[in-house]
Amino acid sequence: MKYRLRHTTSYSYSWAVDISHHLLHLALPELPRQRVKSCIVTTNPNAGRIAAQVDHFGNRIANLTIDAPHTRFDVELRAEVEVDPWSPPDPKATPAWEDIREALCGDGFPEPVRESEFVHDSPMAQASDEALAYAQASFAPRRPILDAVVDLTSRIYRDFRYDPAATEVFTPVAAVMQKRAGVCQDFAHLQIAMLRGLGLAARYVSGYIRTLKSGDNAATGLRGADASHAWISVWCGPSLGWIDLDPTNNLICSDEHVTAAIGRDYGDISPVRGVVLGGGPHRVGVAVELLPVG
Amino acid sequence: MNSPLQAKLSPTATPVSPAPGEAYDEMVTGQGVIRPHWQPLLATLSELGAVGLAERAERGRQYLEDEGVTYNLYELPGSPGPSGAAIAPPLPEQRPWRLDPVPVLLSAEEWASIEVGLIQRARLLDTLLRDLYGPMDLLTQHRLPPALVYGHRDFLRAARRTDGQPPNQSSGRMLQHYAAELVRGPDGIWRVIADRTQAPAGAGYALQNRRVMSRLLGQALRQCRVRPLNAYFEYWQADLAARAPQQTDNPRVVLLTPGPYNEAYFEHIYLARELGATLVEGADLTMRDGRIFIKTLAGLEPVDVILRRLDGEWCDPLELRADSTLGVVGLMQALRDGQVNISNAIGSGLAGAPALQAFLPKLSEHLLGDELSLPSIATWWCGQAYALKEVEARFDDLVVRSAHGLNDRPVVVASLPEAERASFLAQIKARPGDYVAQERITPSVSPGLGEKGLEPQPILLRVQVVADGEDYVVMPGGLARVPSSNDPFAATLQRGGINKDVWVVAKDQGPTVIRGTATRQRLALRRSSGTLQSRVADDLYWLGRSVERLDGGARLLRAVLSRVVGEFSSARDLVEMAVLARAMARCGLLDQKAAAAPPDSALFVGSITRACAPSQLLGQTIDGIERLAAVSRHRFSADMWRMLNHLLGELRISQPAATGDADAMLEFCDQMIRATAAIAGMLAEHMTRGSGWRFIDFGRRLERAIFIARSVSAATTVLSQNSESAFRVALEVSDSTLTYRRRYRAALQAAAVFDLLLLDGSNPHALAFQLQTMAQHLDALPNPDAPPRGADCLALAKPFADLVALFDRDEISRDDMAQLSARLRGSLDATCDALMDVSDQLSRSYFSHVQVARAFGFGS
Repeated sequence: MKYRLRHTTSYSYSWAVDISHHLLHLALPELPRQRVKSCIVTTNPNAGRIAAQVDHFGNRIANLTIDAPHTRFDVELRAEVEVDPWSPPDPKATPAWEDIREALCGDGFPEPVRESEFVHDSPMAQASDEALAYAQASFAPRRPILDAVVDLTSRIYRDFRYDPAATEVFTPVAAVMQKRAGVCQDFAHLQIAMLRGLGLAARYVSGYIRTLKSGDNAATGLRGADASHAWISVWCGPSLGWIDLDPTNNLICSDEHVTAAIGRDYGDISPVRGVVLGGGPHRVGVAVELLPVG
Repeated sequence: MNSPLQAKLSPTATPVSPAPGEAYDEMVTGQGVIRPHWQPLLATLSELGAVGLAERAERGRQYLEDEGVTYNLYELPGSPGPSGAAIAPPLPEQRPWRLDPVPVLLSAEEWASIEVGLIQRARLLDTLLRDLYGPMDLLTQHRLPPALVYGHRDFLRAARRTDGQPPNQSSGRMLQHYAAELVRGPDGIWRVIADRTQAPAGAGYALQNRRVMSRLLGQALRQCRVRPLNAYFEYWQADLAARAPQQTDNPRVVLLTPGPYNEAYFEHIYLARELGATLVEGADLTMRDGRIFIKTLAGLEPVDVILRRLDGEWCDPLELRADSTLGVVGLMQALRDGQVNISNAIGSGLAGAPALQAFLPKLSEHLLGDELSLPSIATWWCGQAYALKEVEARFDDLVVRSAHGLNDRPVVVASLPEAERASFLAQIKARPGDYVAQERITPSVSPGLGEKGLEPQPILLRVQVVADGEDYVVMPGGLARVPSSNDPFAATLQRGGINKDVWVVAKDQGPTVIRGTATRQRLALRRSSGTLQSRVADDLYWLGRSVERLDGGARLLRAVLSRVVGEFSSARDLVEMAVLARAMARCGLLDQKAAAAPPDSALFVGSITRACAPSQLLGQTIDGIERLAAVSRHRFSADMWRMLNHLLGELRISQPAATGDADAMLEFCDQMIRATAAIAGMLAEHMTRGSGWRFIDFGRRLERAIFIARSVSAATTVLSQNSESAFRVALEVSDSTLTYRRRYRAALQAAAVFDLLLLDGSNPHALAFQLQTMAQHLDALPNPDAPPRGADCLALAKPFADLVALFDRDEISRDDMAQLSARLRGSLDATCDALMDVSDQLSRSYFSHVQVARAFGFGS
């Protein structure tokens, strides 16, 4: 599927910001099933110099400074990207989840070194006993890993209410567990913490989900289309690698998701991070459009 | 002489052979013989005797106290100090530094092996860090368990280079300075307990100790041919300068401190002076175009090298912890751009992870092609089956801690009740990779001055290492510490304990230089003390404002209270109280509702008598003064600091609770007014007339100008009805009643009162006086053309000359008076607003970006 993507973020401040520094995780990466035709990030006011580099996880990041007083900061990403459809393997035919756990442990020296990074707790996806207990119901002994993760994904989808008012940017996993409600970011952190608690490797993926033409949304009911979206990725062994699942929409990702960045949790890859001096209270506006072309 | 040491001194004493597990004695051999390198010291000690030694100890204590050597005590060790600067908590308790007068002596031979071992270890840890923050070959080649890196809180991903460049671009080294904690076991072998690779403390304290010791036992120091410490700091200083990314003759080196809340703040001040570095906090630095600058009143000055005493994760809120207010926004980018260098490199703390010690012998062979010459204490990372089995077998003899640096509090298994050990072991087995276990070891003992004279005390060594170009040098000697409990793992600098100097005997017969306090180079004469950091100017400005705010508030409150106490308030009192209440409300001392209530109502009286409570504005102002004075401490002389401390301490003690005792409150108001007068006197008498003083005084003048405008404005509200009351109140709160009486006797007239309070440039409580003084200060600042300008302040006084002239006639009808007072009030209120603008302009011109940075797009 080919898409045209537009993602704008606007900060309006109550009074002038003297200087602001931003770290962007916006530029789309090339991935085996994702090809980037064009990708342009622009800011207003214009940033003098944008330092682009690749972070520890392989994401494309950009650092910029705006050092003239401003009361508004807009950043816009425009991209053309193509994502290949994909048929996931038969979940019942995937390896037993304990074998994956053993491979990641490897008596201290696991073969999948890089993957093992995502077994550890991270600041925004902290282990919670309650979450782990919840997850264990899906992980019967020797159950194939994808079968178990798909089951867990649909249980989260069923048992947790999608409610933007329930949580804030930083709501700990334990609180989401208690409220049984949240948004895509919370569900992703929750499921990641559960999988890691079981000794599996899980990553946080930020990106976008296909926006349907007005009126269609209710029909397909894809949630998280009006803002940047988030889901998870779980490691299913050396031959299958990472498989992405979207707990907010209860599905295995195929070609309706565009990946922006991958990390341990939101904190590693928040799309627009900033530190400002001055400015007072501020408002943020985010708009996302991911429209199929052709 | 009957010293307890005598028995040990006698060569005929019964030999004591060390039983297995019994502590090694630093001074006496197993045969009961004094080790040769101790003999000159013992001769001195026995000459001194118990009394003489105790007297030296007392003198040492006195020196340290006079020098103000302290460390701050924390509730939670290992915390970097509070990061939310907006609401500053009280400063931590300062503890005096305790120094035992008896040093630890080490022979040239044993030191040589420690030296070789630590230099090798520093190279090893540095090489390890450069791999982990770069290609990570050690992980992909399965030489180091990835869990020890990926799971560790000190692995800072933002510091990793993925572009093939070295992580610390302009010099290869990530580890510039390093400290090792050493313990000598019963077998006489020194082992490393812990590697401190973040921003190790102790070098400054060691030098301070040596300076005190050279005064206490100078003769023994010479007789023992002890190696001096000063060269170490010269190496350090030279290496810092060599790290400047651009070749300059005189690179600017700054020492980045977390500030006065950090436990080792004293050492930061001390080290900065010793290394010729400017002491800065994160807020003093700013990143522009990839360069780091220090913000001074005169503008931005580039920084070449940062010596950081701040833990890595706090260094840049943009890329590291977003909730840090201690760091520099954009520092990581500046480092990647290679425009500035930092020591140690961000992320260096990882090399101190205790679990790494289990892998160092193999890593040493792989990375250096050399056997590890200085062993670590036995260490097992539980994430491997064989190690877990070992740990289980000797569980009771171990100390267990987090393998990921999540909780620095080690668990001594033997100290757990029997029942808890099993459940703790089960907890470890559930997630073995999260734990690391180390053997317990009985530390060696060395004589120290105890309560009953000299006694053998357990010791730990903290030895410092610093880079010297391509290699490292070790400080010859350093710090020994007597852990407060018998457990070496519990001993950290934060927790205190007693410190000892470590004397390393020189090998050759060459002369030993004792470091004095002479400066290295002749100094050029200067009349001002260099450029003032904007943050310091900001703090001083607000200190001035807060002192004056306290004074004004206390005067208003006193005026009300003096009318509340007593049995009966007259109608006149009630009118005047209402005026005062209005002024108090304008100043934020009273809420609007209470201010509007009838002055004899319970609501009014209740609110007034609560106004000094700690939670109210005045109480908060006292807190503010205390905090600002403490953070500006380095600007005051020791005498001034002591007096300030004393005055504020007294206020604290007598601050009344919200009991509603008006008489006690009245007494407290007097005390506040006396205290502010004393502070003002001190500033006038003891501060050099530099920029620092100007900012304090500017703050005081501005606050007083606002106070006058507000109180006279409040008075004008009753001018047409009760002019006498208006005048009386206005004169009283501005401390001008006496001056007025001397000039005009009892007759209260509008023009005369307003002339005295608004126009009279000779009355230090007049508006014009404040504005003129403010103008003088502004004209003398480094950038007199930046707003606010002196002329702007003078212009604020202008309208009042005409206004006051309008009052200067024989008869004024009530209506005219009402109209005139409304005009005057309007001008006064406009002046208040203009003064606030002046303050904002001052902030923008001189303290801009001193404001707390706010991070968003991330959790907090």
